[in-house]
Order: sequence, then structure tokens, then C-alpha cells
Amino acid sequence: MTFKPSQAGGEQLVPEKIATAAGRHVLGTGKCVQIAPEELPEAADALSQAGARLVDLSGWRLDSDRARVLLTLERSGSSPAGSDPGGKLVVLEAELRNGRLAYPSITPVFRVASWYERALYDSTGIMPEGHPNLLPLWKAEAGVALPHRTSGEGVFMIPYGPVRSGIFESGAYLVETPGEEILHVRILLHHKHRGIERRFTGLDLGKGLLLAERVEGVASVAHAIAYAQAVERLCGIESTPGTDLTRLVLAELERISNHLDSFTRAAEAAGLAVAVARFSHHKEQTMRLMAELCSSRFGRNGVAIGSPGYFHIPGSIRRELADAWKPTLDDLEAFFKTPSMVDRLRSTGPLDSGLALAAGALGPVGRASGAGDDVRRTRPYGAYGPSMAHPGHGSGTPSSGDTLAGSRSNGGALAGTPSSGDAVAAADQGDALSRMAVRAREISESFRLLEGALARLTDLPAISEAEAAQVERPIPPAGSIAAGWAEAPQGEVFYLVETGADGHLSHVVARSASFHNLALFPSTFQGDILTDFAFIEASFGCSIAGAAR
Amino acid sequence: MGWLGRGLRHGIVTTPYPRKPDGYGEHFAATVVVRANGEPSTATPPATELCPTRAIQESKGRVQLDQGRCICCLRCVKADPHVFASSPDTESATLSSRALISPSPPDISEDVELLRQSLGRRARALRRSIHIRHIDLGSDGSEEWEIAALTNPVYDVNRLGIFFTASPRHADIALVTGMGAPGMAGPLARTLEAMARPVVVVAVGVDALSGGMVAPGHGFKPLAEAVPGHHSPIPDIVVPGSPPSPFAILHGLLLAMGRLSPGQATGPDNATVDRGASR
Repeated sequence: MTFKPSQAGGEQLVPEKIATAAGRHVLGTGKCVQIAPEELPEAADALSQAGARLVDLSGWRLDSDRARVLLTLERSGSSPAGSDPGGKLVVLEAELRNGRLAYPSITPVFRVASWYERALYDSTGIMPEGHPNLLPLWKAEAGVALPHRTSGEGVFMIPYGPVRSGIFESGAYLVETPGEEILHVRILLHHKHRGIERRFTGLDLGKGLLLAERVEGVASVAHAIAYAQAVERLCGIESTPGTDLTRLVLAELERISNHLDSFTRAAEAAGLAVAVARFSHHKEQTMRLMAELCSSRFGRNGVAIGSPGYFHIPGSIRRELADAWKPTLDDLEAFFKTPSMVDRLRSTGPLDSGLALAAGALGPVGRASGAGDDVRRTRPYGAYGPSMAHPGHGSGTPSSGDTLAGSRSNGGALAGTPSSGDAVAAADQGDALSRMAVRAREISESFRLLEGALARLTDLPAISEAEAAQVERPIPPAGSIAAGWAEAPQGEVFYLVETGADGHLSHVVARSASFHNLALFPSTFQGDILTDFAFIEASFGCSIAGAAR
Repeated sequence: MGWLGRGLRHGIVTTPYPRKPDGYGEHFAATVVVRANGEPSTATPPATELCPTRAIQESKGRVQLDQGRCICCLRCVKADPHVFASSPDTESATLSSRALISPSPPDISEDVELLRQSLGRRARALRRSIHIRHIDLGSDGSEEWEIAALTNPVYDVNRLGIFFTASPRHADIALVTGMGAPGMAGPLARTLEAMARPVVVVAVGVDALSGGMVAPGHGFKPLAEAVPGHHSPIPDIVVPGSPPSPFAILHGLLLAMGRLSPGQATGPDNATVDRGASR
């Protein structure tokens, strides 16, 4: 069977000579094709040439001598209005048979696939043949006697971590330096590898959500949303406006907390004690707002499948939000006006825009380098994008379309709020300063989104006990699989959820943005010195838990 | 305006705790308790099955909930509100995993008192000021945020003589988080070995205590027991929660310093139903 050209652009997905068959449909994605394992690199190359970015590469064993590899890519270009948001996602599926658990590596095509393939090999034994550097990523041998990558007079290696100075997650960096300049950085993730994806297998769909919240604890809400979306696709559950808006509120509060955490860390690295106190206080206030709404400072239990979780809106919440809004943005503005701060960030740790685009760098890290799709816009879900303004969804502005795209000024009680970030720093230079500027902008935007969503939620009828109770879930057909995604503070979170015969989870892929972005971290050290390290790390804002899984 | 002026803008935001109760915490579920009547659960499916971490046990018609396993998902509270209640009590740390069982086992207060005396003898020198070395053994990252929050102006633990230190050689307390990832066995052993004696170990969060949702039945103990010459009991202080709030962690540290005694404040049985959970 040959692949039919897609209707959208008439272009061909994979070269004609590659035999393809329709793959098992991954719900939520556009095209699913099955190809032979040996043709993966060529098919990937064709898509890469057409500007596709790598979203995920994962796989699992079906039995002792068969395995499945799923390569998810997103084609470039905008999807036509009103079309399926996931329409640009392409899933290439290859089945490995007869005990030959190997396929030709696609790292030569997508450099960013390197970590994905190393992780795949570590966790399943599926061998990416021809991988240029197949060192263990998650297995414990990773730290043993790694050779220096650089040489020169007096070059030595500083093993930094896993128990680091300060309160950090356990990740280790091997820094090669002659004393001041950083020549090379390697990241060791194996210390903290928890094998959390394997733990999903056999759980029921509801318990899976609790585990998803713990893949990357600081982005619990985004992971819960991505997982819940995938499950809702599997079960055919339509979400309600109330559900969508509560999710938006929790996700934006989470974004503000995370971005403020990055500012706290950057200020700490610069020794700005008052700025540290201010930003950490703002972060504490945001986490308390979250706890008032859903009884957890991390937004846990606030997302449930097909319904809002524990969620209620105290009457005071909009006033409390307004109280937090102005001082936060005000301090952000001061941050970008503090020379001792800005000097440390400007031109520090640049991520080349060509590399960022080729690697499909995610989130604020990507956006500061001209990449970084914001899936709230590019693949709208829930209350984001057009549905925010849907006439049936409360007192929306019917014609404004994508509320995220416009820079609608916010009237009413909060008019006059400084639009921090917009004027204070260029946000597209790819350096640490740009990454922080992107975050400042996103904080400001999140406050606007929050105000709008909370206004609509108070107009909606209160969420009834019945609606908040676990909705009746039809058991999805055995072996069905769906994708889900959400824009976490770190960038796009991508889930693949597959169910087994008993309706329980058989395989879950929980790909965090931290995993994808952290692989790019070593590429940013171009003439930077040891004291820049903390700034670059703060500007990346990655979670080790999410990366080491 | 300079940062100095900004620092004065909001006046003093620091909590009066532990001098006075703070009152924060009523907004979220810190722990789940079994109501005093302790009647068996009647929910379908039964609460024992509903619980994702097997924190709930039922034998001879009596229900027990182990807060050392409970991740506060509140599924039992929702299904069976007349048996389970979420409690906003943030003073949830104690000295023994057994003391985390609700309702409390009958002889637990004597046990805890013995542990307190033994810890008190060992850690007498620490009372005025402590230095903490935090070790992440495979957390989800949220515990680190809550520990780091202790240094923000609201909790400001430096005012209580509590400091975080970079080197384990300067540390009195090992604050461990996470489910016990195998890759951390070596680093944990080296860190504990580098610490001067006496060492007080505080386990923060159910992941460390029991593996929580991520690695049920694991926790950090297997790693600690592999440490050559480890002292017992490990851990000295247990702080339940997923993750525990900063107040709960602070409570644990104050217990470790001997500045508070377990159960000195409100006990778990005085719990009220949390507002969030009741909606």
C-alpha cells in the first residue's frame, strides 16, 4: 500500500519508494503510518527536510522477540483554522520482529534524538544501530570513568553533583575546564532515574493520573492535563467549559510559580538578596493561591479525568490575584533594570537559533532562540485558543479569536498594570537574558489569562458535586492509544497512553520538556566561565525529575 | 526605586510560628485521618482498593490509615466522608513511622517519648543552631521547592538558627527526600559518611518514607541500610505529605532540635474536614 498524499498541502509524507501502511491510529494525531524499521532514518530525513521537528521517540517490547518503536514528529506550517489541532502530528510506527530488537539510529537525522535513543536502549534494550554515542543515560554505569572530551594544558574535570551545594535535585554535571573557562559540560541523569514510566503499567486510568502528577512535581498540573487529555480521547469524553477553565487557571498559576522560581535562582546567583526575598515571596503567594483553589500547593488533585478535580473559587480570589499582580510585574521590571543582574545574563549561555530550530527546542528556552512552539497556540487544547472566546463559554469576547495571540489590554480593575518584559529586554537573542525576558512576558500574559478565566468561572454555574464526581468512563478498546499534550512552564509536555485488554494502562510515555531541553544545555557553553553556570542553569529552568524520569 | 526600598514595601511578612500558631494551612489537605469512631468503610469499591498506595488497611472491622504512605489524593475522603477526613494540621511530623498510623496505636505515646529521649541525648548539642545537608534520593522535585521555601521571607528559618550548608562536613542534619533511586545509593553513603556525628536523619515526604505513588513499598530505607555502619533508628524524624508543606518540614526540624515535642500541639484526632475536600 502506498501512502496517499495529504489533502493539506498535497505534499508527500515519506518518499514514495518506502512501503507504508496505515499505522494504528494514535488518537489526537494527524497521520499514523507503519514503516519497516530499516526505513525509519530515510522517512525521518524526508520529514526533517520538510521542516518537521521531533516531538518524541519511544518504544516498548511487545514480548520477548517483538518490540514497537514510535517516532512522533510535528510538521511545520500552520494548520488551517478549525482543523484538528493535532493534525500536524505524524506518528511513524515500526515493529521490530523475530528477536531482532534493533533499528537504524535516527540521531544522524535528528541530533536531538540522541538522548531519546539512549533512554530507549537503557529501558527496553531496543538498539539504535549506528548511534554515534550510545552511552548509558539512565543506567548506573553512566558515571564510570568517562574520558575527558577536551585536552590542553591544565584541563581538569569538576564533577559537580549529584549532591550539590544548595537545595537542588540530584543531577550531576561533569565540567571540563582549565580553571575558569568552561570547555565542555556533560550531564549525568542516572542517579535520579526512577523508572516512573514503567510504574504506569497495570494501573487503572484514575490512578495513572496521580502518577502523572509525580513525573515532574513542579509541573504537576501540565502533566496531569496532558495525561487526562489522552485518556479523555481514549474514552471519548468531551470536556466541559468549567473543566477547561479550571485547568487553565491551575496551569497558569503553575507557570507563574515556576518562572518566579527561575527569577529567584538567577537573583540568588547574582547575590541580590532583596530580589531573592521578593521573588521567593511572590512565588509563595502564588503557591498559596493555588492551594486555596484546589487544596494543594502544586495543583495536585485539581485535574480529574473528564471533570474538574477538587476545585472551588473563594470569593476573595480575584482580589488576591490583583494584589499579587502589580508587585510581581513591578519587581520583574526592576530585575531587568538592575545592571549587576543584566550584565551577568546578557550574551551568557547563547543557544544558537539554527540549533534551536533543528532540535525543536521547547518552551521559553526555545522561544528565546526563535523556536519553541507554544502548544497553547499551535495545538490549542482546553480553554486555550479559539474556544476561550466561544460564545457558549460564558461572557467571552466573541470575536477576539485566539486570546493568547492578541495583546488585548486588560481593562477594569487592573488597568495600568505595567506590561513588564515587553519593553525591558529583547527576547530573541538566545542568551540567558532573552530566556528570562520570555519568562517575564509569560508571567504577565498568565496574569491576564487568569483574570479572564476566573471572571468566566464565577459566571458559570457552580461545579456541582455530580459533575465533580468521577464521570462514568467507558472502558476503551484494548490496545487503543492516544496522545495528549500541554504547555508546561518548561515547554511542551507530551504523553502517549495505551490501554490493555482489561482497560488498565499498558504503556505510558511521559515526555517532559525538561528531558528534551536539558540535552541542549551543554551546547550553550561557548566561552562562558564557571561563574556563569548558575545563571545558565536558572535560565533553562529544567527539572531533573522530569528529565531523568 | 532601589531594591532596598522594595524590600521594605510589604513590611514584615514572616510567620510568628513557632512562637505562636500561624493559622496557615486551613486551605489545603496536609494529612488524611480516620475519624474517631473508626467504623468500617462502606464505599464501593472499598477504600482499601480505592487507595493508590495501600495506605488504608482494614482488619477486624477497624480501619487504619498510614500517613507514611498516604499521598493525600483524597479519594477516600470523597468516597467515604464519614470515615475519612482530611486534616489541615501542618504539625504532622513525628519521631516514628508507627506514629503516623491513624487512629494512633494505643501504646504509641510511650514509644515516641522513648525515641524523643534517645534523640534528645544524641542531639543535645544541636539545640541552638543546626546546619542541614539536603539529599535528594529520587524525589519528583516538589519536595525541593518546599524545602527551599523555608528560606523565603515568610518562613525565614535563619531566624531560628536553622541553616542549609553546602558541605556535608558542616552538617548536623541530613534531610532526605525521594523514593530511593538506586543510583543514589553511593552518593548517600558518601554524604552520610562525611557528616560529623551525631547525625540526625529527617525523611521528608511519603516518597522517602514508603516510596509513595512512585515506588510503593520502597522508600529511602533500603539505601540507608546499605550504608556501612549506619546508626539506627533511621530516620529519626518522619514528615508525611506528598509533598509536605514548608510548615510540616519546619515542624520536623524543630522536633529534631528538641525545641518542640511531638504531640505538643493539636493532635491528629482533633482534625476538622478540610474546606477544599468538602466541596
